[in-house]
Amino acid sequence: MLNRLIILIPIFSIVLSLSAVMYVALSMDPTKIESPLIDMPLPIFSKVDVLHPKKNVTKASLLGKVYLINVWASWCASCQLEHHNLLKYQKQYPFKLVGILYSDHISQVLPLLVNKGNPYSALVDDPNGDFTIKLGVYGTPETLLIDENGFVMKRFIGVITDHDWNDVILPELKKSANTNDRLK
Amino acid sequence: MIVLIGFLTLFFQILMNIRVSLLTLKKKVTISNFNYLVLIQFLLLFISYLSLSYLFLTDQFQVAYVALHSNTYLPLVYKLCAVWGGHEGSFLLWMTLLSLWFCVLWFKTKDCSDLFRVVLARIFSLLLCAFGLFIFFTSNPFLLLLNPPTNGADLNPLLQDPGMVSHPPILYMGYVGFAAVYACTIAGIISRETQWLELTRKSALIAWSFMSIGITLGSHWAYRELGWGGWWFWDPVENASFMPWLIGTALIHSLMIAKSNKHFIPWVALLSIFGFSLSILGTFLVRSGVLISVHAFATDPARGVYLLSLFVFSLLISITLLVVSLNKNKLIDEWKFDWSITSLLIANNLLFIVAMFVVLLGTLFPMIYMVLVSKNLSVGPPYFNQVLLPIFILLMMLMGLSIQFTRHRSREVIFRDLVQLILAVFMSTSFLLLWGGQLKIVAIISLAWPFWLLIIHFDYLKNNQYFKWSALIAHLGLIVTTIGIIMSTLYSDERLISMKLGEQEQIGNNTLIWQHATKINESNYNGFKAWFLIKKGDLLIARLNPEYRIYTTSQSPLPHAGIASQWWGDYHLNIGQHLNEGSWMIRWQMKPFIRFIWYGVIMMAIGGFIGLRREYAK
Repeated sequence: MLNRLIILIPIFSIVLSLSAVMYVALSMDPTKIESPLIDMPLPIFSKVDVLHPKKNVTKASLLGKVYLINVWASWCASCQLEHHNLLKYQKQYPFKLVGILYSDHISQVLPLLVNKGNPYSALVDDPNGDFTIKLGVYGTPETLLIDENGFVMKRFIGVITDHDWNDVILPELKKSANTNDRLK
Repeated sequence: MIVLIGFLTLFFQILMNIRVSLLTLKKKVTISNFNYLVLIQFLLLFISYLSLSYLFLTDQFQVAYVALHSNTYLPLVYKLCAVWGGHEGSFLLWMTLLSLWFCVLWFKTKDCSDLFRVVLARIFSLLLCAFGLFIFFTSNPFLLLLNPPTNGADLNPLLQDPGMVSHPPILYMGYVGFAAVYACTIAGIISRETQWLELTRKSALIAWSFMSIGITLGSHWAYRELGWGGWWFWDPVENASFMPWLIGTALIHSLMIAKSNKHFIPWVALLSIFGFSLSILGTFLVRSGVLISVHAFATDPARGVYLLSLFVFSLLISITLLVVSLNKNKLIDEWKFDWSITSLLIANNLLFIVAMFVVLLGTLFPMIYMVLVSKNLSVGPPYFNQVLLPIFILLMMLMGLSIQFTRHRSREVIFRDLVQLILAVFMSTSFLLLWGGQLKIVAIISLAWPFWLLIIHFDYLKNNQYFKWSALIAHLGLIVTTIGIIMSTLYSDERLISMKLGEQEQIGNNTLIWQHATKINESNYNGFKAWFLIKKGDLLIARLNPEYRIYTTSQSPLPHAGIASQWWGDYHLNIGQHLNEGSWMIRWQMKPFIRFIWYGVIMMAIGGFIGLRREYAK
């Protein structure tokens, strides 16, 4: 009898610890995490733009304006949700958005952009994830807000929400647009 | 008024089940008392369900649930389906089906021992209470709004599809069936009633078959509606239904051994407990919002806590019960691997369990990662495909072997095996040649597998006087599905074209012609319908009518794919965004044999239903 009850101990501990994790997960907001990458310059890069194969996306060509880098993939469910949001934001206030395709196939992605719409101004393919790792990004979706000088201002892990857009991204974009106007 | 009826019947149903569960705890129980109670609890719930449907039909937007999921312009049939378009109604349907199972099982077990029936009633009524209280406190569909809107918010456009009519109820029937399997098992363990294995087998077959059909319908729906040509996305919600399905498959196979070999009864019991727990866990994952999914339901942590505790309690209590009720742990002591059919079936079971854990890990990993490392990530198809592929290849080998090994081993037989393998390669090559596809080595080798299985099954059929139609048809279904998966993965073709009305485009041997377009003005959406032709030389192959729809209430565009089916596969056309001056982005796809995937699963389900007829006792 006792022997048999001993079997229960590992089962109980596994189930209970798993449910403890799930319980904690319930009360967590997966989208708010600070990052050490903030205020660091982006690495220098030059990549082919999938959308306009004759053009290259480089760090230099993007300087001078606040923009977003969005790491995503067609197999990532959260990115599908985010995609919808990005389209909405582009409509509301057009901005520069560089997409990075993490571990994906172009043939999977283009139909998606055609069917659902394309929020990206440029799209970089990163099939092996090298570039993504260089940027210090771990998973999908993840978004970096980059300032005029190519420094990371803010990092968003998970789906960009209306809250992120209205309170953080949109003010920065507007501020940058104003300074640019004044310089002209 | 109707709101009140719906609410009160739900309320009384919960009271009724509390009464039933209290009655079963009494020392002396009169079985005949239960007949009315069981019937009445079902009727009450059914009335409650009907009144919710009535509220939808008559556009009663003072009810919050109706206002959120319906709209006056919604076609009649979708108004009825909108009942399960959201969380609250889904659960009401879930409960109604559970109480239907209770009712049916109660009257089907008339010749079982009283103790068995009492325990059965206790488990069912406790489950119904648990879900009833869940609905009552966290997701009541009958809540009223103080300021009712003049019109509702509309059903999510993705859900306005024929798939919505059949997919959810059939899938729920499967989910709930696992609860019935669980109830039969627990009652069987406690009462030591001899008939419980047969009852469990029948409920498991029904639940598994419904689940197969439900998953197929969902897969086909996603294929048509999500518009990017895939049929499985490894989305948490899909995984939630796939895990109990895997366990159910293992259960059906292990029940065959358990009938003749009593040592396997604990194993069967463990599987049914797993099946039920996974159903609850799946519901938790989907409804609580711990995972992000394309299904994106409204979520609420309170519901999550409730479902999570239900999962933990039912799993722990029933496993404790199982361990305590074991006489001796003979399963582990006495079993040694030999090449008998029993051993192969055990190996089959273990592989199914491993596959289930692979899916479970992939589904839960983002959440565990988030809690431990505070980072968010997605686990995608690359993981699932790579890990599951070898497991499924092993499973198919086992399937072939276990059918081969019902015969004696001799030199003659081994020779015949070789001939069969060569024949299989020959068949796969000629199949490809007949269809007219390009010969690829990968395709020949991977197609040889299902053909090998096909040959083995016919060989078996020829040499055996008695065989199980059910197993044969289900296995043939798997072969058909496998052919579909292999062909559609290896031979799919896909292009993006920009086209104007009236233009032609050459694609391979085919010509795509855009003939004309017509305006659509439906009650729930408008847009246009395009008329395409596909010609091979002068021969008309197919007509396609993709649609570009804009749903009126949400103003969101949703392309509707035009699909033309040949016997061997599908042509797929999608209208994407408007480029400039009348030219549109068109996506063309050719998906060979993709239908076989669904046909195969339907065959499996038919096999499951046929299995209901016969008893395995020899």
